[in-house]
Amino acid sequence: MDSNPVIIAKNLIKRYKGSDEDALKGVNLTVQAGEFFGLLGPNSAGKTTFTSIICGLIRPTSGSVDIFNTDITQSYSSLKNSIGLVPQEIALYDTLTVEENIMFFGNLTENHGQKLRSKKDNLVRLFNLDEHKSKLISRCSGGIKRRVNLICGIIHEPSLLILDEPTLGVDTQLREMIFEYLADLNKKGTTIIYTTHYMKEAELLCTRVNIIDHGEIIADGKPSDLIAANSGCTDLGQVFLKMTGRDLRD
Amino acid sequence: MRKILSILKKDFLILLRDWPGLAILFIMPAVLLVIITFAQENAIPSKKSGFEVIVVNNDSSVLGDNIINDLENSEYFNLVRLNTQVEAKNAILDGIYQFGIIISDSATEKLYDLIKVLPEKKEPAEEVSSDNLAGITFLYDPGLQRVIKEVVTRPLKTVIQLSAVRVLMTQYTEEVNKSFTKHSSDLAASFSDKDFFSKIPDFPYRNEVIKRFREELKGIAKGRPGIELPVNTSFDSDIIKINELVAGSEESEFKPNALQNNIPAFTLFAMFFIVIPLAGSIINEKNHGTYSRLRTLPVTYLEIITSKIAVYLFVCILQFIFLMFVGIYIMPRLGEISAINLDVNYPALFIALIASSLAAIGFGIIVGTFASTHSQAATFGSVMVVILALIGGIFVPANLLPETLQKVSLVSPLRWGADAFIGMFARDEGIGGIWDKICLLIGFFCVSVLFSVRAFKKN
Repeated sequence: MDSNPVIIAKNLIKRYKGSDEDALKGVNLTVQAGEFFGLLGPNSAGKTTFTSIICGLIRPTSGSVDIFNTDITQSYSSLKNSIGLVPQEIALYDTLTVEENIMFFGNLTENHGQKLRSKKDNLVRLFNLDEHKSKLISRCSGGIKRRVNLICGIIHEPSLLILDEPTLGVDTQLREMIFEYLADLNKKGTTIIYTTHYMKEAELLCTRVNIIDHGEIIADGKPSDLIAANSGCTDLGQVFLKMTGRDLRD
Repeated sequence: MRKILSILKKDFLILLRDWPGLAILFIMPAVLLVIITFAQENAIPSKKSGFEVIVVNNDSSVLGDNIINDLENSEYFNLVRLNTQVEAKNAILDGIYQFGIIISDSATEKLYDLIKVLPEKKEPAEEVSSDNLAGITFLYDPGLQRVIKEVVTRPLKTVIQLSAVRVLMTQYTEEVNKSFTKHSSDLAASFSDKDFFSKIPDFPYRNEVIKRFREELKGIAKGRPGIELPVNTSFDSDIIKINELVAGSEESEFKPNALQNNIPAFTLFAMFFIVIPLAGSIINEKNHGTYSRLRTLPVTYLEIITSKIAVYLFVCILQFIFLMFVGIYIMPRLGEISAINLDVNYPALFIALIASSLAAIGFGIIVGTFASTHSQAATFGSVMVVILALIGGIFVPANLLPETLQKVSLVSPLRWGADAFIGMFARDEGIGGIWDKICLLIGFFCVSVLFSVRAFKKN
């Protein structure tokens, strides 16, 4: 693994307007180039706040985040071509077709013309969407929408890919397919930040995970190391429960 | 039953916490009710409101005074006295008033002249030239809707004609009385002639009868018992001449027919209704996550919004072209109405069209920015457009609204647009005549976009 940090977050604090508690309480976190990094945590732990900051959607209250050696609080626009986001929700236009959605989001990046069409065709074929490419999104099944949602985040081949629960509500077959694709992408050099509630997924895919709870990083390491460090735990799920407790969260 | 009650409670709580929704449900209809009621009340001259009419009385004699008295007594009109026709024309062109009556300087004299002619001619109507009739000129605002013009001119003409008839009849009665009295005096004098009476044969009480007859003739000669002509005496011909002039023009033709007013007005109305799709598309992007995704891509908000502006600008231009097409080719075929007159200043028309479209787009963007749901934007947007149209003179001329609403109407972008279009279509104005409205429309667009950009950055 190269020692070339893609993300360096230092003492990152975020407090939302009207809230009397910090959503992030001085998070320090580094993601190296080529890592498949898992960010795990229960509901309201701060995962989405952290990913929203590194995607440039919200600004931190204090602290700094460098991505590709650029302070994103100072300049973010130059990084946009290098970052891809696959949001948890289906962020597509209902009244555009599968193909039109992919081309629309692809065209907003540096990709265009034949190069973009070629990438789109490859991904459509890879995700078995050929027969659905002319369908309006509103008429597609949940599985198809989830695949298109993923493609729209990776069509521009970003160096840093952020996936927020990409397998939420998908069947086993599609989940396996997505895993294979992401693993392949990571092997080719894409740095991946993966947030999930499924500990098995994280254990299987991630080269390193951080567990976040109440806005603080409470564990950092390879899944196997974390399991070994917690006596009595045989998988990452047990480690997660041991560290975050069994209390229900909001 | 338990499930239904739970659902009812949930819906009730959601509604109670939706303040904009409640405002739409209660405040907006109340505002609409007030405005529509006032607009309807003021659209037609009524005793309560009184329609403001300028009067220039150059006659300064019986006819002029009578017309003014009768108009005032009718209570349908509030008269505004001005001194000259030029003053009246300017007041109308400035948009302060919409109607004027000019009573010519020799109106009474010309009316009285008719009396010299009428009793002596068998068919006076054919004998009197219209140039010799008392002249009354109606001065119109060129932008006045035809229907309003008709509604106002009919009672005006009736009051003026009745005034003229009464003045004429009074004078006619006096003239007939004078004539009859003179003839009676001559006859009485002839009866006083001794030779005349000496020729009357003798009969019982002859002298007593002659005496009584002579006294009676003398009494008639002194004006007793007087002569009353029937009140409903009518003339077959016009006794006054009413000219109709468009203020600022030498033409008597009233240019704006219903289409001339309604096509620009309803194009504006339709343009502003793009608030529904435009605001809806902004809200969909906000709520469906596509906008968040767009923000992670190398594209700015200004680029996103510029694209929307371009698309909806095209839509607005299409709306205008479509309604023009209807006005030129469809409406004349559907009824007895002449096609819209396109004899306008084309560069000014193009600029006004773009400026109005941009204002409509700005309105859609601002609603889309601040509304949280599609239905909220659709309801608020459409009701606001109707209100802005009502106070903006789209359905009823803004000048007919109560004074307070007239002031409020000055902030309606639809009023600015309507004034600009009517200026071109009715008053033949060019860019110089409508530039202030164009600036307001474009200013409204710029402010809307700036607010929208700021709100998105803040969020």
